[in-house]
Amino acid sequence: METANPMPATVEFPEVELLPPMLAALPNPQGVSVCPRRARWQLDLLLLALECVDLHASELMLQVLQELQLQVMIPNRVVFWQIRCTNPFRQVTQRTPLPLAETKAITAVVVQVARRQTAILRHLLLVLDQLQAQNLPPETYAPLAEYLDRFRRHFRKRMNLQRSSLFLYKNNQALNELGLKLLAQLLLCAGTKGMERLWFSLFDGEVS
Amino acid sequence: MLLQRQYSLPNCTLRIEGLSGQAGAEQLDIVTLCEWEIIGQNQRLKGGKDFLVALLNSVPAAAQTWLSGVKLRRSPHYPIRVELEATNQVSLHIPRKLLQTSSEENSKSPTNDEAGETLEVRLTWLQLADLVEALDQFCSDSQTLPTLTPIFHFLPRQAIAPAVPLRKQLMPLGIGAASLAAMAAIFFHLPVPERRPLQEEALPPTPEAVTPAPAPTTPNPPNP
Repeated sequence: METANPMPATVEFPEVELLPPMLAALPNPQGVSVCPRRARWQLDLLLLALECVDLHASELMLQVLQELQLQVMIPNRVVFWQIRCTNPFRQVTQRTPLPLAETKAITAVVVQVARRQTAILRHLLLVLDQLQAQNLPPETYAPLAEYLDRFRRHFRKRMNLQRSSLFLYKNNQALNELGLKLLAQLLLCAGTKGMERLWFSLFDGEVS
Repeated sequence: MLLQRQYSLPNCTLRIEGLSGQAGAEQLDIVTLCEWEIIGQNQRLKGGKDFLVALLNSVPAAAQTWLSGVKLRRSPHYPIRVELEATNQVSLHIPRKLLQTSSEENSKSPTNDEAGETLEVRLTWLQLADLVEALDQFCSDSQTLPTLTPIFHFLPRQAIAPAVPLRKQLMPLGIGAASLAAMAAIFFHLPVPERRPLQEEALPPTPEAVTPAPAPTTPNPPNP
């Protein structure tokens, strides 16, 4: 016996981007569907600096992914590593495009880990001020020297220094300046509106 | 009733004084004084609402541009010019007309107008981050000027200077065109080579031409 109103075989839902409320507040830039090249480089650099500030930062990043319930997008460390490898300046790089949802997730991770390391970031920058006032190099203070040394080693191990735009960083001084600048940038990201500021800065010059 | 709001950070204190639009309300609607104290330098800058709005328009936007690392094609037309020069050095150029000077400062520096139209304030990265954070906290405070909200926007492509300057981009094209023109000028003055006809009679006879063909030894049998 046939029913009067047969149910359809499949129910079609409209395509809606399901994101946690924190990430849904970040607007998608018009005319941009994937993460631009400069943004992938910038995000990977910030994550690299966080790893150099704290040795346990890579585990903290995975923990933050769990806490923010972002495992739908980044389920494990392998996917996290693959996303980081979309940085075009890495030695091991992959050309797969990075969707905006994953970019938002990485942005949230950077901001949350930077917020937890605010005390260390402030301390290192305060010491940098004091050393600069005395005309002393940053390597004079042991924790700052340790951070810079670790940053140089990680950068040279992971990035492709044969690229012409990275040729500058064969010099220790240039790499130190980049590492110090990243400390201050991380502190800006850790602020009250840090996530919005970082997100909007990633697409500067990419929208028409 | 005079209302005060203070946003304190280790290197910066932002103090806002003002009045409420409604009697007895705690919401600060009218700003009468904005005081920014840079703690590392023991410097206090005072101004009115114009100073506060100028800080809000200039400093967070400059911080975003610095975070993105792009270079602007033209310097932005913000009331306060922010320059992030070298490592750990930031300078703010604040127009003096936005600032309130006390009577003591006026008596100390009677030639204040001759010193320049802008006041240069030098900050470190840490002081800049604290100022940005104080402004963010102020904007997020629903009890203080709720109409002022932080405005973020994506910088358009037209506002960004190209990574490689136009002169550098055009240099290979210019060198190529100049070398082509130089070679064309040189070849223009060279004579065109003439085509000479082949001189067959002058050629000596080849040995194959004079060698007679061998005669057949046996005649072919006639067909029946």
